[in-house]
Amino acid sequence: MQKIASYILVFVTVLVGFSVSLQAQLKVDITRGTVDPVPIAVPEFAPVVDVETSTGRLSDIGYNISQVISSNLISTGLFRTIDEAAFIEKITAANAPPRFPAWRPLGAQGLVTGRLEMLQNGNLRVEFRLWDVVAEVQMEGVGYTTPVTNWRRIAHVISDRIYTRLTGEEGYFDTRIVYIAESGEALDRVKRLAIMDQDGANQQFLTSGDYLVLTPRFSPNRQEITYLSYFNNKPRVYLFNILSNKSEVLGDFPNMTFAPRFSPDGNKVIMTLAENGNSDIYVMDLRTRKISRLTDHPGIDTSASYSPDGRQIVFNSDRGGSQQLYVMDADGSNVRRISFGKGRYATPVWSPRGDLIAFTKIGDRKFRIGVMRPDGRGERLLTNAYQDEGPTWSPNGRVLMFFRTTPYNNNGTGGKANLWSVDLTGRNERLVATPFNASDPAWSPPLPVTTRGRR
Amino acid sequence: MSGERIGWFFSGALHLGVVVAVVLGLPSFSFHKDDPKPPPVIDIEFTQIADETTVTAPEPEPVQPDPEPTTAAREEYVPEETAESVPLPTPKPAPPKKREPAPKKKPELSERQQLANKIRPKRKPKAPSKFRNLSSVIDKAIKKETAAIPEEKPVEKKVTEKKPDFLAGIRRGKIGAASLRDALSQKLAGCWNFPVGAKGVENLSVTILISLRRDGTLSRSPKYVDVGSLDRDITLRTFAESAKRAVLRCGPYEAEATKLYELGEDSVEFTFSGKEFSGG
Repeated sequence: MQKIASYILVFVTVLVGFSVSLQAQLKVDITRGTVDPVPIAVPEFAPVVDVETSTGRLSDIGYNISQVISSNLISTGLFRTIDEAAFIEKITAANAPPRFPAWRPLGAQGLVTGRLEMLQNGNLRVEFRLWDVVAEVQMEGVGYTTPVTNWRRIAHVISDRIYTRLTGEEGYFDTRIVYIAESGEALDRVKRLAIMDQDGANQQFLTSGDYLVLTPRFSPNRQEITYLSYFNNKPRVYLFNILSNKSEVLGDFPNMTFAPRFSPDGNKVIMTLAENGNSDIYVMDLRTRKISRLTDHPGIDTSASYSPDGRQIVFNSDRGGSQQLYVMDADGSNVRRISFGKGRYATPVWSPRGDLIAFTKIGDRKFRIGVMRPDGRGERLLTNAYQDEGPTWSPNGRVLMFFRTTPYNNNGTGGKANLWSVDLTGRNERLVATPFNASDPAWSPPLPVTTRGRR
Repeated sequence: MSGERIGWFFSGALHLGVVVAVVLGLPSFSFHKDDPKPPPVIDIEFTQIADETTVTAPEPEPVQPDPEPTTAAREEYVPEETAESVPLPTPKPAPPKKREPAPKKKPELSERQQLANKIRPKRKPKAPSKFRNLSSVIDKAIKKETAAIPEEKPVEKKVTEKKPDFLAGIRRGKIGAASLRDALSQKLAGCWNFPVGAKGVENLSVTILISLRRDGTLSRSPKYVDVGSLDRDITLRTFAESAKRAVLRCGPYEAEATKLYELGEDSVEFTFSGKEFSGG
């Protein structure tokens, strides 16, 4: 009996061992990848019928939409578009999937196809599809209906969709930038509030230039801007509505107010008030206009910025002897210093993602843009020019825009500021084209797009 | 125990063993999550920019049935009230990059000068080596020494017969597997694109199982292993899709398949980890 049991035991063991050896696979860990831009093809969007519209021929609009999408994707540094001269297949308005073998030899990993149609009510209908050329599947397909004059915004919205689908992060192309446009010589400089799309299109002045404006900041959820203006030579914080073109003083304080910034819910403005030579941080509730003091220290406390959850505030202060970054709770309690590196730190801005704080670092005869974690660890400098300052985050917390001033020189060409952007990894530094010299950029939240159905 | 009972017992054990072998041994019987389906075309209502931008979506208008399978949204045109604006001149183009100054051309030489440059002084004959005599002396000394030493009889070495090493095959297999693992890891790294610095990427990980034919082609499409719900987490989804693209782009795996079959296996499990992609 025992003998039989032992035979059975051996038999079962051999079987199990055999089965385990059968299922054993080679296990390989992949921890690295390539940082080269992903090749993507964006052929021009094809019109169903090429008709003349109020903003040009439909085929031209289709071409322009593909160009704006290409330009947006390239500007991220994460993608490169394939030259259309290399395309083998001509994309038409027919509702048919592309021939993937025609796109694979070009090295394309993604393909964006689109079709346009003018509806009987005069609106434009744009449909786009994003295809995974390697896996041969549709990744995204969305249709939009809008006035034809909105074609550029549609191109931005589609770019956002593509970006999100390929990176997992929210896009930032359907956004605007408000900044200070500077013209004239150094001693007689005219500073005007200006606004543009994030790619530099649709430039507009919002103020005339008769009085100085500084530090504009976008509301996180309204088409409003807060800024500092020296109207009638009195520095005050103003609230400006872009649509109604009206501005109002944010309270009439007897002394100087500066460095205003909205809270994440848009209901409060945090700013610095100077009284008897002492600057402290205050917060105003925009609904009740009630003001509360958050810091009370002989040092200069300024440049306050809320964390995205509204629970904490970062600011810079010289209370410790030199200008450093501090974090406090939203009610002004629990103040702790977070920057301890060599040099001084200014203009901290909390990332919309919440994981980083951007700042201007002053030291080694340079102004540079850097980031650190909210506890002060992991400090990294992202730029290394002569004078970079005033960082503002893209709404997805991926890109920083700032202004760079060239050093003064004998030719008189120095001392001019321009807008630049850089990825939070420190890669992909780019000049943002503006018609005049520009400083103090502030990035808007994404513009509203209502989704019907499943997103 | 009667013969019949032993038979039942033996038969039961045999069946159990077969079931275990089938479930564990054949990958197609394992429980893998199906691929995420491509998203359907969705509707977007394109609104004008309103003063208050946190408004809720308006009630959908009754939509006419669309003959097309696509489902684009419709919108009534509402004229946008924008602030009066001052048109600006077109943006300045980016300043052209400064070109590196071209290296100065060398002055052209006349034919005579070129000929003159080609003339080189003849090398001086080498001086006789100081070691020539010394080496001959050493040679002589060696000859004398070798003559003095009597020739040793070759000692018969005891040839010990090697015992068959049963673990050698396993060791070879381990080394082969390690080198194949390295080769595949490097190959896949070259095919994999994912943006550095995405939030939480350091915590992302996805495992993909592939099965190879002997010629290196995939015997079936790559499968995610225990990946969870990709539809809920867009970052995980794009991460997983980028990994699958990498696996597909890197094929065929000709050389790797040969080595894999030598190891007695036909499938590989790739685990893609985002630890190195944090960008910090």
